[in-house]
Amino acid sequence: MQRLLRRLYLVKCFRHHKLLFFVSLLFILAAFYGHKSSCEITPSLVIAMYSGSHQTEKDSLWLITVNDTVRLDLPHTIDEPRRMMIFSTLAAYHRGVLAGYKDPQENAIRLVVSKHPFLSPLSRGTYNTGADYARYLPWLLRYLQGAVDSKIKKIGLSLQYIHYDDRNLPVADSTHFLYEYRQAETP
Amino acid sequence: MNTDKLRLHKDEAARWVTGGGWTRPWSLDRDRAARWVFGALLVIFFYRYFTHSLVHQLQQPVLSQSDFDYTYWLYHFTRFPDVFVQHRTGAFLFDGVLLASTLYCWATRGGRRGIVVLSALCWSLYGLTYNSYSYHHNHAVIGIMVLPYVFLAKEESSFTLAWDGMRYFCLYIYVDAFFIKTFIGQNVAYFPAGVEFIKTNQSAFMLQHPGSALRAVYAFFLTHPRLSYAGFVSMVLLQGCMVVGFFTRKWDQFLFFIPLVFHCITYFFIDVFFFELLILNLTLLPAKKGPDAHPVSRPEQE
Repeated sequence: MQRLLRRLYLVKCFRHHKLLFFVSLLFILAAFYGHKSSCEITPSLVIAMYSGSHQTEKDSLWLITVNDTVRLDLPHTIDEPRRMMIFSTLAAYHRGVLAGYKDPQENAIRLVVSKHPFLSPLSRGTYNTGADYARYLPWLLRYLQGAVDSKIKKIGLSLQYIHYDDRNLPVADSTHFLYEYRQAETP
Repeated sequence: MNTDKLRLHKDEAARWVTGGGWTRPWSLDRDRAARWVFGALLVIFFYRYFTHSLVHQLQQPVLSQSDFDYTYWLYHFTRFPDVFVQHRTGAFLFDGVLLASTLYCWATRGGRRGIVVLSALCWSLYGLTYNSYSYHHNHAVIGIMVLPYVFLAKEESSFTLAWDGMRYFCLYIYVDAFFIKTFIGQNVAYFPAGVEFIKTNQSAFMLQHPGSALRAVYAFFLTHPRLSYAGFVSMVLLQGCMVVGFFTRKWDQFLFFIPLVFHCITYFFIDVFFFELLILNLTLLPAKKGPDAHPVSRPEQE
């Protein structure tokens, strides 16, 4: 039994490298706490990568029209970091706009901080403000100019609603034009 | 003669299964591990450059996501984003330090601990920055955020322990995904799961490229839910197989290929790019032993 215990990673760490032992222990405790509370704790637990079990019947997709003519198309998976910067932030912006230019997480974060005041100093910058949302569209245009094409001067953002038919294939329903931003003309 | 040949084949097979065949030519000592890890980080740096996601290319982003992950709370508390993300000069400086420190560590095989800690910190901060400002806490960058720290170990025994720890971390990521999908999310027991994963991730591609050959492939799997479900369950079981690594190293030679296969399949079907996480796969390679292995503890290079 003792021989078996000595072979355990944590026991080896405890015997030979105390710092590594405490780091490993902290990691394991964080992973347990994360699973128990369903809270992410990077790098011990990143829950955002796992989907639940529910059937999607309707969905929506973001369409970006560039300079009133071309539809932005980034089909390659290898382009994921750039796509994420564009489409993931766009979805977040829209959620914020729907909540009245307010971060949908703000109330929940404030509630947690009010219950645990020691977290108050850490909560700075953890949610977006109205000013952040107001600066989003100019940023998106700037990012597209840098990451896609410097000739982009105007962007139009639409939400395309889709549904899945009885064979699970996506079918486009309607498209709603939502936002537009044009670069200010310089004299 | 035939019996001798048969015995030779049997010996060879036994040597392979027990791990003996997994020692050449890619077994690692500390020097080679440092070269490969920092080399992989350089490749990732240039991949990130070409996909416009280095900090200076983010154009001073405005929306960030912290959620209830206290690591991100701490990240914002340090005011790092105020200086190195929200300022153009700061962002250029950060990317410059990230590249220079990684290049130096690659060239010196992690010989100077001060630069190793700088590089490791920069990669951790880069991962937090990208995940926070892309508004999605992505697993793919977790490997680059933690692996460089192992080269801070001074002595051979410490390095071996830290490297082993990263091996367990690599195994944990896949086993935990299996655990969550099987017992917490219970996706495995949900028959439409395979179709759901494909259709929600590929709908944009299918609608925007109706004439593509790939669309026909996805449509085939969407209209054959049993096949999609079988594929999904196979992937989850494949992740579960990584649990073997917690009990023995003998199967590392096979476990090494599981993440490779898994990420290729998810790249194709689920439209996610997880290849950066494969940096942790290096920890599944065997340790180099024998006279040609470089000593692990080296004096600091002056």
